Amino acid sequence: MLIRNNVSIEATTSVIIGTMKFVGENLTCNRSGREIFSKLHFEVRSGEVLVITGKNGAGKTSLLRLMTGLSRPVTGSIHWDDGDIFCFSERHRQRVAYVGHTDALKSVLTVFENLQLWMAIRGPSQGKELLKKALSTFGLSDLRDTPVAELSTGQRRRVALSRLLTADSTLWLLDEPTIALDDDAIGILISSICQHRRQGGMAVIATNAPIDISAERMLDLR
Amino acid sequence: MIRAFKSTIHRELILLYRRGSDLCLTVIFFLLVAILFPLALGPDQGLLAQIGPGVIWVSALLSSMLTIDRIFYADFEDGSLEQFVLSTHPFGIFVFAKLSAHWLTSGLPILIFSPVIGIFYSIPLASYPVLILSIALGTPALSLIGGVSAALSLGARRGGVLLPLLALPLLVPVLIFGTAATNAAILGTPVTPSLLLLGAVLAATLAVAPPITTITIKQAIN
Repeated sequence: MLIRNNVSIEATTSVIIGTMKFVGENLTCNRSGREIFSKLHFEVRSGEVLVITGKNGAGKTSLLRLMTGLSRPVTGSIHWDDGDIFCFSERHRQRVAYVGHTDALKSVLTVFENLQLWMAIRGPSQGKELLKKALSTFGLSDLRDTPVAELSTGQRRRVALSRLLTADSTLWLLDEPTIALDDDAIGILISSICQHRRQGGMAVIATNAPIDISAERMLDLR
Repeated sequence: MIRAFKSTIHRELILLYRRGSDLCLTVIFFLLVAILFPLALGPDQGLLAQIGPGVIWVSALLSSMLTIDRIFYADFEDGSLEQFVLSTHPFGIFVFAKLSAHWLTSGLPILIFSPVIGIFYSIPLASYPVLILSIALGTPALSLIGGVSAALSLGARRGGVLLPLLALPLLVPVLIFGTAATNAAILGTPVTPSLLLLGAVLAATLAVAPPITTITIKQAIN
């Protein structure tokens, strides 16, 4: 396990208002009794992107799920600079937006309905304007009234990712976000992440596909 | 929090309405099973009135079993449950909303159609209030206990087969007290003890079932 800094952090943190830190220490993760990784550390600060790479089964998804708080590490702790994610879980959930392998979309609902219901379920509403903006950013404005069942895999992925823009979250946790996306959509995703970190947000991306983003931190799970 | 509860019920109802067939399935199954008995047994009114409450309750129990697996499984498969857990609202709110939506779409139609079935069985009109009251008290318990079984079977490979095996033994008290109350009304014996016991079962499941379901689903997601 290694953590290395690729790019000067000072260069990006200069525009950040209020810095936060999200840290994992000495993490061990088991799946069905088998150890996937141990003694793992990570750290990501406001305005930074952490890219997690590693071969299939190395534990990229498991690590992301630990970060969400959906599962617990066997040893170690994951915390913000103001508290552990499991002790202050409501505050943690407020700060996190997670896009996993599955798109969490309902095929019988339209794109707009899916996002609208998701916003209502997620927490305090950000308003319809934000939703429309998210749809137009991901090039989905023309598809807003189309049932998700009629969308292609890539389009569904776009809808799932557009949810990031409707959530007022500090930390984006993205599991293989570029899968099924065309170059255009990858470009939109990258610029959205860059915009997010300019505003003081942070992102953790687990991917095997090369992603053209200047990540401040890399974590290679081997 | 109330908004999240309402939004979830709204979501469940839209999903069911769009799928259509699921909603009709419970009612049609309930009506068909209950109507077949008088056709097979002949027009002996005494016999029909005697077995009527039992048949109505068994049909109600079986038809609510038909749709019990859809409460959580689809959301578990497509990742929606994870998003519910990561919401800023307590997960229990969503679980309770989904169980309520299940009752609205399976218990309520049974409640509405049970007097119609009563006619087929020559149940005296004077017993209808008790029949309706017992079904109103019993069907929410069916949804709540069914929810526990649905959550328990989430992680299992053959969940669909496992579900009735888990749920039916737990539903026996509802069946016994529900039938006993209506039978007592037909025979003119006191109905209060059975109705009180049915109410007690509902009160107990209302207190115990949603937290157990919530914990079980979190385990399945983990």
